[in-house]
Amino acid sequence: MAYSELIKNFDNIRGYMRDFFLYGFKTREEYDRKSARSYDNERRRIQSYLGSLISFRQTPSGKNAFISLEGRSVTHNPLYQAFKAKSFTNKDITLHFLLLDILSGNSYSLKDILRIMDTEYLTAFQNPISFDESTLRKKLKEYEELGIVVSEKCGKSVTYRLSEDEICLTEYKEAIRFFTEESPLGVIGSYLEARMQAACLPGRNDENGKCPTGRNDENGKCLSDKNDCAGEYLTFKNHYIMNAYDAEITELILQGIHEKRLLEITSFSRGDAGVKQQTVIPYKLYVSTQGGRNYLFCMDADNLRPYSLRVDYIQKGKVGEVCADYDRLLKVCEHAGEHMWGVSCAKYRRYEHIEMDILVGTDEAFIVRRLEREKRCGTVSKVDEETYRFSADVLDAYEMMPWIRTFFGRIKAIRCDNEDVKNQLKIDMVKMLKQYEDENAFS
Amino acid sequence: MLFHEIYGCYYRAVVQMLNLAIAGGLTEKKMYEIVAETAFEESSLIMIPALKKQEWQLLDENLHTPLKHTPDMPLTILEKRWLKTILLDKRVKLFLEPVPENTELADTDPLFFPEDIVYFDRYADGDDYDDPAYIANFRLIRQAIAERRKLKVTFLNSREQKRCEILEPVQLEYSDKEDKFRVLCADRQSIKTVNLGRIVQCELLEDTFPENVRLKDREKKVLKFILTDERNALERAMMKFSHYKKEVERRDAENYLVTLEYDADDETDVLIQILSFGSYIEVTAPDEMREELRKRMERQMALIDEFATFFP
Repeated sequence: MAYSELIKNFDNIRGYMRDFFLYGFKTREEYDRKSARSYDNERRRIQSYLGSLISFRQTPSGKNAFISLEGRSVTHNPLYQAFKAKSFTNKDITLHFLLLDILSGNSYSLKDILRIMDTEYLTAFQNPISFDESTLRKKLKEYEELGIVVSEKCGKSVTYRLSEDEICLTEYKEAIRFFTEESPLGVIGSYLEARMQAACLPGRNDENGKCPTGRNDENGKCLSDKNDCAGEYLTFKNHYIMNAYDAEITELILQGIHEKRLLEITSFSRGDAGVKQQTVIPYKLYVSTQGGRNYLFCMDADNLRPYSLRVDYIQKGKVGEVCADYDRLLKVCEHAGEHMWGVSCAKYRRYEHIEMDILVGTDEAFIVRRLEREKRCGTVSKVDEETYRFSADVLDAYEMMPWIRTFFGRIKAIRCDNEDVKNQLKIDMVKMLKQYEDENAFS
Repeated sequence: MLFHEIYGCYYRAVVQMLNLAIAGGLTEKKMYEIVAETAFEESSLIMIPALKKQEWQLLDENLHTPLKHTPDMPLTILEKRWLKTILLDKRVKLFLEPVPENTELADTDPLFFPEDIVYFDRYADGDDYDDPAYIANFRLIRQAIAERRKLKVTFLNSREQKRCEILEPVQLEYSDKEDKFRVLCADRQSIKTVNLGRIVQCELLEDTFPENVRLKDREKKVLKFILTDERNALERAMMKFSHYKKEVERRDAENYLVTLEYDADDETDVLIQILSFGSYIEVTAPDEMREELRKRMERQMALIDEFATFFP
C-alpha cells in the first residue's frame, strides 16, 4: 500500500511515538511490530508531524530515531499534532465544505441539499463528483452525532440545519490555553486553539492588515505561529506530555467512569504474557505527576477484585452496559484507595504497617514539610528533638521503596511488615555505598 | 469521537484557502504558504494537487470557489463537553472573570468530573485556588505581564519572613507535581522566582519595563548515569525523566548509559529523583552529584550501627 501522511487509526503510530519518545535507542531492525517498511512509514509520518523534534543518531548497531525535548521549554504539546492526521476520502472533504456552505443560515431536506449541490456548486467542476442519497444521509447522520448538524421533522419530511453555536471561544482563550496542557484530554483544547488560530492566519486580518488578536510583530507579522511561543505567559514544569498519545484510551476510561458503564479492555502485559481481555468496572483515572504513568483503577467485573491497569498498556476497549449497583460495588475501591501508596492493591484485604524514623536537624524544618506534603497516607509525628516518624498502614509497602530511598542519609530506623522492603533497602545501601566510594572510578 | 478528520490540519488549511478564495485573493503561492503554516511537512505534496486536479471539488482552475460563505463549523458536542469540563475545575477561576454563568453550556454534560481523576502522587500543599486574594494576585500578575508593568510584591521567604521587592514579571509557571504557580521575573543575574501562594500583598505599579526584557537563559548541567534494567527500572526511569532532554545508549543486555540535561537550579530535585532509583542507577557525572550521593550514603551508613537495630 502506498505511503500516506494521514492515518486511519491511531494504534500503530501510538506505539512508535512511545518508543521514539521514551527510549530512542532501538534500531530499525529491532522494531518487530510488523515489517521494516511499516517502521519506515511510521518514522516518516512522525517526522512529518513533528519536524525537527525528531532526531537521529548513528550507532554501531544501526540508526536510532528519537524524540528529545525539554519539557519546560515546551508550552504547546507537540504530540497533539498526530491527532490532526486522520485520513479521509475526496468525497468526505468535498461534502464537508459544501454542507457547511449550503446549511449556513438555511434548513433543507436531504433531496434539496443534493439538488443544490448539483446545480449550484458542482457545476463549477469539469468532472463533478456524483453524490447519492445514501452517502449524503450517512454523512448527515455522522455530523448529527458529532453535533454539527441538527435534524428536524416537519410532517413527513426531515430537514437539516447547522447546530446553533453561541459560544465565543475568545472569552475562554486563556482557560483553554492552560487546560490544553493540563487536562488529560487536552488534545480537545488543541482543536479549539486551532479554531482560534485560524483567525490569525492570512485572510483573517483586519482592514489594517493586523491580526485581530493583536499578536503582531513590528512588521505586522502574526505571532501566533504554531511553534512560536512569543507572547506566551504560561509555562509548565514537571510536565509529562507523552500521555497525549493515549488520549483515545483516556477518553474511553473517563466515559466509562462518568456513565458508570462496564469497560471491555484489551491490554498487554510487560514481558511475554501476551494480550489479555478483561471486563472491568472503572473507578478512577489515577494520574502520576512524578512518574508520568497513568492507570485505570477498577474492579474486575467477574471476581469483584480491585486492581490497576496501566493506561499505556491498554490496546483498545469499548464501553459496555451500565453497571447496576456501581456505587455500592466500588466502595471496595474507595476503601482500598485510602491505603494505597501508589496503585498496587492486589493484597487489598491486608495492610502492611510501616514506620520510618527520620533525622531532622535544628533549622531543618524543610524536611518535616517535605514529609508532610509528600506522604500520601499515614501520619507524621515528632518522636524527639531530632526525630520525626512517618507511619502508615498500606496495601503494598514495597511501592514506597522509591520514596523511602529519597531519605537516604537521614533514615534512623525502619519497621515494616514486608520483609522485601527491608531486604531491598539493605541491598541498595550496600551497593550504593560501593558505587560511590571509589572516587577514581570515573576519573 | 476524538480522532476525526474534521479536527485535522488538512481541513484547517482548506478553511484558510477557502477564506482567501471567497475574498478573491487566493494564489498558488498563498496555498503553499497556508499548508506550510497549518499542516505537516509533506502535506503540500498531497493537498495542492488534490485541489488543483479537482479531486477535492472546492476550487476551480482559476482558484475560485463556488462556496458563498466563509466556512464556519459549529462547535462539536465533544468540544462543548470539554469546555464544560474545564469550567468545573477550580483553577478555571484564575483565567475567567467572571466565570460564565454557563448559559450556552447549561445543558451540556461534562466529559468527566474533577473527582474522577486522582493525582495520587501530587504534593499535598498545593495552592489554594479558592482563595479570593490568591485569585486577585494571579490576575494582577497576569495584567502586569501583559502590560510590562512592575509589581511591588510582599511575600514570605523560606524562613517565613516577609520580604518586599519590586519585580518585573515575565511568565507564570505551573508545576503539575506541586500544583503551584510561580511567577518568573527578569533579574540581572538569573531568573527571580516567587511562589504565588507565598505572596502576601501585590501592587501593580505605573512603572513599566521594556519589551526586550526577557528571562535569562537557565544554566544547564549534564547528568550521566548508568542504569541497570532490573525490576523494570529502564521503563520507570525513561518515563520519569521523559521531560528532560535526553539520549539513551544501550551498553549491553542490562545496562544503559543515559545522558540528560537539567537546570542547575533543580539540582537537589534531580538528585532526589536519582536517589529514588537506589542502586539501579549509578551517576557518573557531574562529579558534584556523585560527591553528594557519596556523602548521603556515608551519612546513612553512619546512622546504622548494624542492620539488626536499624530494622528492629
